[in-house]
Amino acid sequence: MKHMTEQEILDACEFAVDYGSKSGIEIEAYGVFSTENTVSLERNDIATGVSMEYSGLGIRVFKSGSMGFSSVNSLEKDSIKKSVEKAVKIASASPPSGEHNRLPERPEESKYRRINGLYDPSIEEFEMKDALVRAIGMLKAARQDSRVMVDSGSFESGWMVRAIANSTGLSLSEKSSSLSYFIMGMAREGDDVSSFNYRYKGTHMLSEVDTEKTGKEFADLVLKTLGARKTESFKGQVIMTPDAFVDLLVSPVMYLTSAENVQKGRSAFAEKIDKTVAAEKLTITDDGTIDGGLGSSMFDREGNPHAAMSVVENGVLKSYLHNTRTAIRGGLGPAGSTGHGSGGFSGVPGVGSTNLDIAAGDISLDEMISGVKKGIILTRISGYPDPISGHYSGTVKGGMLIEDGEIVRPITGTMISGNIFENLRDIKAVSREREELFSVLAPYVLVDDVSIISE
Amino acid sequence: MLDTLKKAMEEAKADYAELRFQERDVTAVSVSGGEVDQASSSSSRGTGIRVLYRGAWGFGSTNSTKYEDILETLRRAEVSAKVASENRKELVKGIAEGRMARGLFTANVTGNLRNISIETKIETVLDAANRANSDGIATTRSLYREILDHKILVSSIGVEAEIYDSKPEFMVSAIAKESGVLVSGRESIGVTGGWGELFKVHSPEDMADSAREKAIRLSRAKVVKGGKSPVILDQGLVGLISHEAIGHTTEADFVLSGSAAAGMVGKQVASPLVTLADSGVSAIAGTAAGSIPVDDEGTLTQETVIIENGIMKGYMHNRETAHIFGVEPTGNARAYEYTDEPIIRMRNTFILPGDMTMEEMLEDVKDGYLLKGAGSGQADANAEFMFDVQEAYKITNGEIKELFRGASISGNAFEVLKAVDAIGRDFAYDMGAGYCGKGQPAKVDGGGGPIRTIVTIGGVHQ
Repeated sequence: MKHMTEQEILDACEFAVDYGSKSGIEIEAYGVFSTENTVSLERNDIATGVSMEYSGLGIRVFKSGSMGFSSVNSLEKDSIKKSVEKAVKIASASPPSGEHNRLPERPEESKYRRINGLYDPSIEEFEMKDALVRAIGMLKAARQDSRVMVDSGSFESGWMVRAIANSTGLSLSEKSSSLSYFIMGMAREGDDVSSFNYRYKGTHMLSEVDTEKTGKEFADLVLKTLGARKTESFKGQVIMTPDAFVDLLVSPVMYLTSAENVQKGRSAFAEKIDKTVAAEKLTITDDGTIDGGLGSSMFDREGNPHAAMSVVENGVLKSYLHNTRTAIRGGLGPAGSTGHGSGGFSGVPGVGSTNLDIAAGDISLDEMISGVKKGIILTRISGYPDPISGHYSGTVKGGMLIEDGEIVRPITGTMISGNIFENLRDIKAVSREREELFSVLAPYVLVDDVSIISE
Repeated sequence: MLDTLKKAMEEAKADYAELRFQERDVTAVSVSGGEVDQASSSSSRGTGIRVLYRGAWGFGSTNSTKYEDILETLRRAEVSAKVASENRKELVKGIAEGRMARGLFTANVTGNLRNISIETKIETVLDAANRANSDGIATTRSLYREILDHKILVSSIGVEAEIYDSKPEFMVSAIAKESGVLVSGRESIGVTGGWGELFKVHSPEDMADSAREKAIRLSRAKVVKGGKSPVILDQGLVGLISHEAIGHTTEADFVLSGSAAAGMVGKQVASPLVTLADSGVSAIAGTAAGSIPVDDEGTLTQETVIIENGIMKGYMHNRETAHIFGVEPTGNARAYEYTDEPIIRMRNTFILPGDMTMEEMLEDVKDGYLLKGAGSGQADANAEFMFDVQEAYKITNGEIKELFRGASISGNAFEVLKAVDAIGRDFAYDMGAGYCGKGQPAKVDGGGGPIRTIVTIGGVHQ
């Protein structure tokens, strides 16, 4: 199949819009073309090479307060026509549910900015054999110590074209490249098996790829949890690594600040704008315009531009994330989206964050550890918090025991339980060091008063 | 399309080639807060091609149906395999041959989903969400989703199968608010079949009522206290443990990576009462959501016994791992979309029912819990698991007492199965609305008879 250009995808979108435009109907078409080369790792060896190309078009139709959606992965004209007809049929069959079912007001041209660092032209010459070299580099670096067992991993490279057109005359397209890799497994020494753990990394730029570094980081992570033993139950301090902090606290905060969840009664952050929801040390900013950011793009899933936005500032909730539907429902009008329409071509735009920047604190990780009398370092927890009640409990994975300011040893057979709303308020310290976890830049945090339970 | 695939296959230079054309139509309706969030229809079609070339795999996919594009995709897969082959330390030594499929395979359907109008689907979801709403309920949600598949599978060892599949699912949930705390109640079902099979056991109305009542009940319940305790686990939790905590460790690729089931064949891993199987097609598999007559390597599926009377009998295999272990492939190689390569996945995983009634099982429990409703959770390769439980009823002297919420269970799944001292006779599946994730989704199901055992209950630590 011939690689499709930005113009060809945009043409397909415009064809759908022209075909579906009738009086009383609003229509939007979002199209993609993508090509990928992936090398996967399995059981300490190269597993498979996978090459993939796909295209697709998502068509959204609004008709007197109702919405219909259809998607198709063939961009032939007949397939597009059929898909438009289906979307119109579904809109006609749906009961009207309100004035929020309409297209966004067309933003001014000046609001859009081409983001730098999203596309690396050298990706076009990056072949399967090049992906293989990077994958092997990661595997070898991880296995320099023979106790490290790589269960799985992959190196993925590719590029993508996104385009959107709608019946307000909007017409936009963008091309980006992406390189991402992960490695997962454990360490084994005799009968002693460490916790399962993983590392991952992503970038738009080939020059930033360093799979060996990630392989080594993974090896260090699993090796240091060999020889883990149980500990007794106690209530103490927990230092969350950036990974654990994002999984346990940041992700739920982003769920709770989605206007979709707020409006549908699924968020405890409803009516909490300008109220304190976390300790003063917590500041979260969402910004989809950062050059080179993995969550950056010129336009969101419904064609709206992004802008930097404060979500939580010094512990105070500042804003919800909106797409056009939630903005209208929330009284912000058809131009009120914050640019957080998210998703792929095959579904209706949802609400999602772009790049998250969690402000660094004023102490180093070492200082943080030395201030802990009795506690643990948490790298991962099995189980997710319930974002509705805030309750969580789970087994500590790759945990380390801290006593009198020193890391004593790895622990196993330990559970922690608590409530994310309490933990957010109990953040006592935030580290200067931060790690980039795909589109999130996050520090280590110290949380007080967590129940640590020996199983 | 069959001829195009066969013509391309004849051009293969690889030692083995497998071509899978897949056409998929997905219709979904979701309602929340009393309004239609989205009603949608997605169509996709394309071909995934996998080759084995000098001991390494290559895979490629295309959404084009043209012969030249399919041939080019085959060539790309061959290049990928060649590049991998030159760099692999250990080469694939062979792929076992099982009972390979030829012919037409069609899911049994009552009420073909293509003949049920989009209006009916929207109305069913909207009605259920409205019905689940009442005083004390903050919000409700309901969704319907159907996956209709048409596949044509050919391979160079003579597989030539055409498959029609139909898998609908339905879910309704209610969130109750009591003194500032939000608690949800949820009912769901997913099957292989049509509209008739989907609502055969419970109507959408019954499920809406049940979700609402559960949410209200739970909102008034106290939070459970933790500790080790005798418990009776309902069919949903039995399915969840069978799938997540036991099943995954017995997938042969995980076994080769050193999962807890490695080296356990022939050993006592559970109570003699326990027989655990994973089934693609069998009497007990019935219309369960994970049923498939043929896997995506073209192997005819069957009932695969993993644990028989407490003894581990074998693992779940694709053709490659079956060759390594010297057994027949079990038909567990599955791919979700044409863009996915087949990997080892479960189908319907369950513990066979026993002979006891719930009353008999309760009788001997002096102080314990009846745990109902699977929630979210996680399990590790060492069979350690942690799952949320929807409802925890205290059992005192054989009688069901007060309801608690906020419970989770944890432990080592094999230890939990060793401690089983009773299995109930009421068999049910309860995982059909969900998906299993292993890099790609899969429709699976899980269930069993209820079991009596010992687990660690986690709750809010006081």
